[in-house]
Amino acid sequence: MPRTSTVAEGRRWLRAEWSPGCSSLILLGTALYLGAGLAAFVAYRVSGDSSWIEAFFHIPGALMMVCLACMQLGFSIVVCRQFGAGEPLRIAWQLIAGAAALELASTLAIQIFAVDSSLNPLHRASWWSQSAAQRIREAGLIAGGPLRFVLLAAGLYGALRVYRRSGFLGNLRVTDRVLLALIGIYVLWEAIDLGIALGRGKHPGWAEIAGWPVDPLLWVLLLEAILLYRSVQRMGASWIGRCWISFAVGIALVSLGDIVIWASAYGYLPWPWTALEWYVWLPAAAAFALAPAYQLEAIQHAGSPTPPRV
Amino acid sequence: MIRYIDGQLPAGARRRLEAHLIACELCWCKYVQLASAPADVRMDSEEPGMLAKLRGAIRRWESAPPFPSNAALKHRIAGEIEPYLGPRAATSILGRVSDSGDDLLSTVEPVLALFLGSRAASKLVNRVVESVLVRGA
Repeated sequence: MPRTSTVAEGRRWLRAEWSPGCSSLILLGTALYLGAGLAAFVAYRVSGDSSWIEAFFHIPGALMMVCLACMQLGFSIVVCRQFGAGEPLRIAWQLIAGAAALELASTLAIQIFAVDSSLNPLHRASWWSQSAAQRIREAGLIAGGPLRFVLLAAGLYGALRVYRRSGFLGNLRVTDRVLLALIGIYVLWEAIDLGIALGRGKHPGWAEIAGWPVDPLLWVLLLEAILLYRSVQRMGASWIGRCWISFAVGIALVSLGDIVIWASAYGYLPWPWTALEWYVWLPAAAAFALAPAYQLEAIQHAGSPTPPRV
Repeated sequence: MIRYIDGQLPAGARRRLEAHLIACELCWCKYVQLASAPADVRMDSEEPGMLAKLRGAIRRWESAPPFPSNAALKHRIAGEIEPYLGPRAATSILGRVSDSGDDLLSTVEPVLALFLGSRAASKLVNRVVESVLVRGA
């Protein structure tokens, strides 16, 4: 066989047998970043020098978060275009793409524009100050918190309606109900605490008020995530299932991060467990980027001449 | 399709082609185009090489073993759609298909369209028809 045809055969084989999709690249990149982040944590614990952690989260960690948010938005927009007007999942994906746009805006605000790092182009502006950075951060938290969660909850509701219409909507199990009840009690407890604080003369700022719906919205999202998980379980492992399971995992990780923040603030979680909060957002962002990537891969495989391997 | 238009297709193959024509817009357009042309034009319009290929394909079709039973056919289609919807969903959807199998594609495609969109579902169904009903026959 001539050398050129051997090379061409090799290229064809590489394309057919070893063609990592976007999802594989996201998983690989996230695993490498988490490994590097944990190495930075170990270096900090051994040396006692916090610059290890700061260096990781301020530049490579921030860039990865922005990159994942960009991928989430880009893939969601492409997925939207794969559904025709009037198709039920088109509206759901439009809402999810809206949530992804808010997530990107929030990540840029929190990870880049509100941080005193070399990545921040606003840092050298004459008007930039610590209070300006704080306002940018608060705006980012609102965009990535209640606003994003409203759109995401509406989008996932659309997906659940599709599962119901197809006859594959899952049912909540006893363990799911217990988990939801416990988190419901936590949300109620927080609301009571807030009521007491307001009664004692607390004057919350606009950013704090805007953040109040976050926990109830997370409860709704968790309910949707569990229903999606049960629906996927009912249908069996598949490309489509991977997409919605990724959303469920992302929501579970965001909820975990929220609980860790609360537990750290109230002293329920001892050091070094509080460091869990730093590392939970990266896999959460990866899960939200993976979801549209899996949906896109399923659609692309459906139109390709060879069936996929799940 | 030409043999179908000329009324020369066996009953089983005819039923499956009809089911596919209902589901596939592309093939329906091709069918309308071919059906509206006189028989001699249909043959003349093909390229010479194409005509030989077509005759060869018809001979292979005729000498091929008969269509698998409906249960075997459903099993094979379940295998084709389960990477997308999941094994339990594929089995459940094919369980909704009537014993005659007439509603096979019209049962499967709408569920695929819900999760993948109409365009991708149509392409997938075409591939399933190609691999299970035509090549696998």
